[in-house]
Amino acid sequence: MVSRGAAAALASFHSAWSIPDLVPASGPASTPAGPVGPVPRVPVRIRRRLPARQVLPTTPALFGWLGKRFAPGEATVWAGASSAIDRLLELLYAGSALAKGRISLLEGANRFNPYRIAEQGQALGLEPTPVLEGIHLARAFTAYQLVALVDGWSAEARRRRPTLLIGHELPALFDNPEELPPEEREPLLRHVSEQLAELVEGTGLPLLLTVSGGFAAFPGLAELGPRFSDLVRLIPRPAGVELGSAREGRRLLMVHRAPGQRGLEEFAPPDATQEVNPWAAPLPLTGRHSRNG
Amino acid sequence: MAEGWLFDVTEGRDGTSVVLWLKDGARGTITRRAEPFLPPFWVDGARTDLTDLARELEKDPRVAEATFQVLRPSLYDRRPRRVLSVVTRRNPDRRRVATTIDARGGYTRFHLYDVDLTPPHLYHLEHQLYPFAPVRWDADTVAALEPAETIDYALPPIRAAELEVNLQGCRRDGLVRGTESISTVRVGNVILEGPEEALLRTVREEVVRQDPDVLLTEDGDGADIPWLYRRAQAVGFNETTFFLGREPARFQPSRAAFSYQTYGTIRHREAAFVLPGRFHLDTGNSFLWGDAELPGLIEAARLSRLSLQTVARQSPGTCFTAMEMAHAREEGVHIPWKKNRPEAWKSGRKLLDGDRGGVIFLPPVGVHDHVDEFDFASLYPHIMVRQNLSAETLDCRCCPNPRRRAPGLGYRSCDRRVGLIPRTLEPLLVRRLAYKARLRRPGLSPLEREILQRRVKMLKWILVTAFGYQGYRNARFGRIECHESINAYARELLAGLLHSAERSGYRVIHGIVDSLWVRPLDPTHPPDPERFAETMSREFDLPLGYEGRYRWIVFLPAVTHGLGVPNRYYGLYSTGEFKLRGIGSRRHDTPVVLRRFEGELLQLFGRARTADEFRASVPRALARADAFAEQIREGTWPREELLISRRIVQELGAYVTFSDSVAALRQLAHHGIARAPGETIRYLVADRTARSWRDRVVVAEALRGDEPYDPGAYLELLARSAETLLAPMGVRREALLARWGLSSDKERGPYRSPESLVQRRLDETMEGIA
Ligand SMILES: [Zn+2]
Repeated sequence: MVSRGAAAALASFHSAWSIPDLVPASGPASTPAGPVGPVPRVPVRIRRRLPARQVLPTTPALFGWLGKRFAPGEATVWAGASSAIDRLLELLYAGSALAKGRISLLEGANRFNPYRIAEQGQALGLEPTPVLEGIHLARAFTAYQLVALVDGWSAEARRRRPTLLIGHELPALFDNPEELPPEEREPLLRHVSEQLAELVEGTGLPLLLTVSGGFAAFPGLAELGPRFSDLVRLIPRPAGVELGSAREGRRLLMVHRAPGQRGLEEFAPPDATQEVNPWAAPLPLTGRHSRNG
Repeated sequence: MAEGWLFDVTEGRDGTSVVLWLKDGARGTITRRAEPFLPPFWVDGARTDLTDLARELEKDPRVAEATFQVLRPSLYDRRPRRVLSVVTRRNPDRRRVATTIDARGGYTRFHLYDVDLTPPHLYHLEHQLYPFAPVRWDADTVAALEPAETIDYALPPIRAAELEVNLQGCRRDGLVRGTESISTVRVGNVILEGPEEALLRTVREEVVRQDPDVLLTEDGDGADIPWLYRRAQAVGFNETTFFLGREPARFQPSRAAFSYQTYGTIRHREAAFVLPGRFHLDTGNSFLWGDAELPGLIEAARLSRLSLQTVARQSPGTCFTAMEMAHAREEGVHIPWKKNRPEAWKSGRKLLDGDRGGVIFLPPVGVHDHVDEFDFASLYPHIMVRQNLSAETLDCRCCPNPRRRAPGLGYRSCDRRVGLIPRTLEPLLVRRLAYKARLRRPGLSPLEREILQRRVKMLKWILVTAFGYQGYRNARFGRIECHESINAYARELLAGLLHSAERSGYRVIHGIVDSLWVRPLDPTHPPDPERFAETMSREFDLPLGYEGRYRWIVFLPAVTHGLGVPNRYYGLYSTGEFKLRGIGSRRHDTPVVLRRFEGELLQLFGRARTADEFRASVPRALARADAFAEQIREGTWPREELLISRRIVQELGAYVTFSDSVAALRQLAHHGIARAPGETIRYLVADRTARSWRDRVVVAEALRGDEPYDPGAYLELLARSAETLLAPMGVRREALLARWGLSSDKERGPYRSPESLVQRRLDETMEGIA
C-alpha cells in the first residue's frame, strides 16, 4: 500500500525531470561534473558515523538511500539544480512524516509550498495535516532576518526536539547587492556557518543543508561550518536524476519505467557503485521512453 | 518674540547644523535661522563589546564623543538598558561611522539605532516640531503652538509659481539630449527669453522678485532643474551666482536617480532636486500629488515630520513609517537600522492557514443585474486598532490568556498596553472621520471643501498602505504574524456578514478584502440597502457603506483558466456612473486607440438598463470592433494614439531576444538618449516582423506623425481589448482575428491563482515603498 503510493510520488518527482531546462547537455552517468563544482578537498571533514535513526523510513529505496546520508550532529549537503532539490525535498518532508519524524526548517528562499508537500504526502497515503504539522519552519525575507533566525535556531531546536534540521538555500538572500551591501555578505555567511556548527554540535541532530550553488555559494561553510556526513549531488540525466554520494562514491540513478516494461538497467553492465532505482507508475512521457526501451 | 510658521528644516552646508525656515506671520517674510545640531546615534550590544568599542571610538577623529546612556532602544525592550551614544563631529559622517561600527561587530554583534534618519527629520522629532507648525520664536527657542495631530489647523499663506524650461529647437517630449541651449523659461506668469547668460540671470532675478514658497514643475527633477543647472554652468555661473532656492544649493541632485527591484518588477526612481528654503515640487515625480495636491501633502508632512519636498517624492508607505517613528520616539523608543523582526517559527499547517489572504468568494463570471455593493471603510486599520495588532503586542509575554486571539491562528493580542500600530492608526482614523463629517456640513466654501477632500484622500492612501506594510519584508516595525492576523479577523468578519446578509434577504455573490457584492434573494422585493448597511454597521460595530446598485455588472474571467478573478470587473451604477477595475482604460500605459475603443463600448453599454439589455447590445459592440479594425487596417489612424508604453526591465545589453522594446532602446541610444531599467519607453510599432531596430518601431520622441504603422500589431491589441470586455459573452480573440483575416499567436500568460492576484493587488498598492 505504502510502497505503491510511494511509487506514485516518485513518479511525480520524476515528471519534474521532463522539464527541458533541467535536462543537461548529456554525458555518461559517471561524469562527476555537475552544476556544483568540485568538493573542497581538505576543509570538508567527512566522518563516518552511524546513520541517524528515524529521519526517513528505510523503504522505498530512495528514502533508504537518502537516510543513509544523515548522521547525528553532522551536516549533509545537497547541491545541484535548485528545482531538483526542491522536488526531492518535498518528497523528503513526506518521507519524514511517514517515519513520524519532526522537521525544523529554516527557509531561505521563500519556496516552501505547503500545497505541493501535502500532495506528496497524499501520494504516500498520508493526510495533509500531519505532514504539515510535522514541519516547523521560519522563513527569512532579508539576509538580516536569516541571521537572526539562525542565531535563534538552537533554542528553537531544544524547544521543539525535531528529528532533522533543514536549512533551505540559506545563502540565497545574501546575493542581492541592492538589499545587502556586498561587503557584508561574506562576514554574515561566515557567522551563519559558525552558528550552524554550534547548532549541530549542541543538539546532536542531523542537519540537511540544500545549497544549489554548492560550497562556492556559501563562504565559510567548508572551514567554519559543521562536520559533514555527506555531500549529495543531484545531477539531471536524460533518463532521470542521478544522486551521487561523495562519502561512499555511491550513486543512485532514478530512472523511470512504464508498467510491464523491462528497465534499461537490466541490460547495463553491472556497476558496483551505482544503484538503480526504477519505479513503475503511469508515465507522462511513455511514448518516448517505450520507443527507446 | 515672533509668531508664524515653521516651513522647513534643511541640512546646514557646514555639516554641523540645521537651517530652520520660518515664515513670519505678521510680515509674511521668510527668516533663515541656523541651529547647531549634531544628533547622536545609538549602539546596543554585549557589555564588553560596547566597552571595547567606546575605547576604539576615542581614537576615531570623526567621532566627537561616545558615552554610555540608559534608555530603551528597541520597541521590543521592556526595560531601559545601557547603550552607547555616538556623536560625530560632522553629520555627513554619521552613516560612515555607523558602517565602521557595524563592520567591527561582524555585522551581527551590534544593533544600531537612529542611523539613517536625516538631521532635519531628527531635529523635528527631538524638538517636538513638524513642517507647517504654527510657532513662536525668540533668540533661544522655536516652539510649536499646537501638536502635529491637531485636526483643525490653519494653513499658512503659501505662494506658488510654476517653472517651465524649454530648450532650443526641441519639443519637451521630443529628442532631448539636455545639452541644447535654453530658449525660454516661464516663471509663474512671466515668460523669459533672450541670450542664454542674460536669460539665466533674469530667471534668478525673477525668482527672487516673485519669491514663491513653492516652485512647481512637471518633470523638474528629470528635466527643468538639471537643464537649468547644466546651462548655468556652461555659460559661467556657479552654485553661488545661480540658484533657485533661498540660499545656494549644489548643482547635483540631493539623491541620484536609480533603478531598483520590488515584488519582482523593476522600478525607476527619478533624481531629486530639492531646494533650501523653497520647495521644489515635481508633479511628475510624485506618487501622491495627483490625489493629495498641496493640502494633502501638507497634512502628510505634518503627521510624518518629513519635509514637504520629501513627502512629495515618497510613497504613502514611507509616510506611514515616519508616522510610526514619531509615535515610537514619543515613547522613548529609537529607530532600528537595517534589522527588523523575522517571522516566528510555526508549523507548515499554521503557515498555510495564515497565508490565505482576504478572498471569500470568487466572482461569478458574466453579466449580472440587481447587484448591490457595500464597502467597509478602512476595515483593515479598524481591525488593527480594535484587535491591538502590532509587532510588539502580538503574542506578548504579559498576557497568556488574553481577550483576543486571531481566529484560526491563535495569535494573542496584548490586553495591557496599546501597540505602536494602533497608536499610529487610531488618530488617522479619527481625523479621516472628522474631515468627512466636516465635508457634510452645509455652507462650506469650494476651497474648504477642496482642502478637506485632499486631506481625506491622503489619509486613505496611508491607511491602505498601513495594512500591506505589515507584511513587507523591510518594514521597520512590521511583522508577518500581524499581517496574517488582520486577514484572519477580516475573513471571520466577512464570513459573519454572509449569514447576516442572507437573513436580511441578500445572497453574497462576491467578497474580497473589504467589499461585498450581493443580490436580493427575491429581485422583485429587494431589501432596503441603506437600512441593511445601518444594521450591519451596528451589528459589526464597523462603518459599512452602501456604494450603490448596479444596473448591470460584468465580472471578468482570467484568460488562463476562465474562472472569475477578484478585482476585474466593470459595471454601471443606477446613478449612471461607471465603475471599472482591471480593464485597459484604467491603465496609463494603454494606447489611446484602445482607451477610445473601450470608451465607445462603455458608452454603448451605458444605454443598457438590465443584464438582458446588455446582452442584446453585444452584436453592436462587435460591429464597433469591426469598424475600428477597418480603420486601423486602412493605415490612417492618428499615430500618437497608437503609441505603446512599456517599462524597461533591464539594461539594453542584457536583453537576449530582439523585441519592440530593444528596438526602441536602440533607437533612443542612437539619438544619444539613455533609459534606465524601470523607466518607461513609448513607441509606435512600424513593422513587428522587422529584424532591424530602425524599421521595427518609431520612438515617441522621434515621431513625425506620418510614418507607416503595422496594422496587424494593432488589430492584435484591439482583439485582446475586445476579448477583455466581452469574454464572458463568449467573444474570443482568436475568433475576432480570424474574422479580420489574421491568424493569432498562441501565447498565454502563466497561471495565476486567485490568491496570488489578490496578493498582487496588495503588492501594487505597496509598490514604491522601498
Ligand atoms: Zn500583554
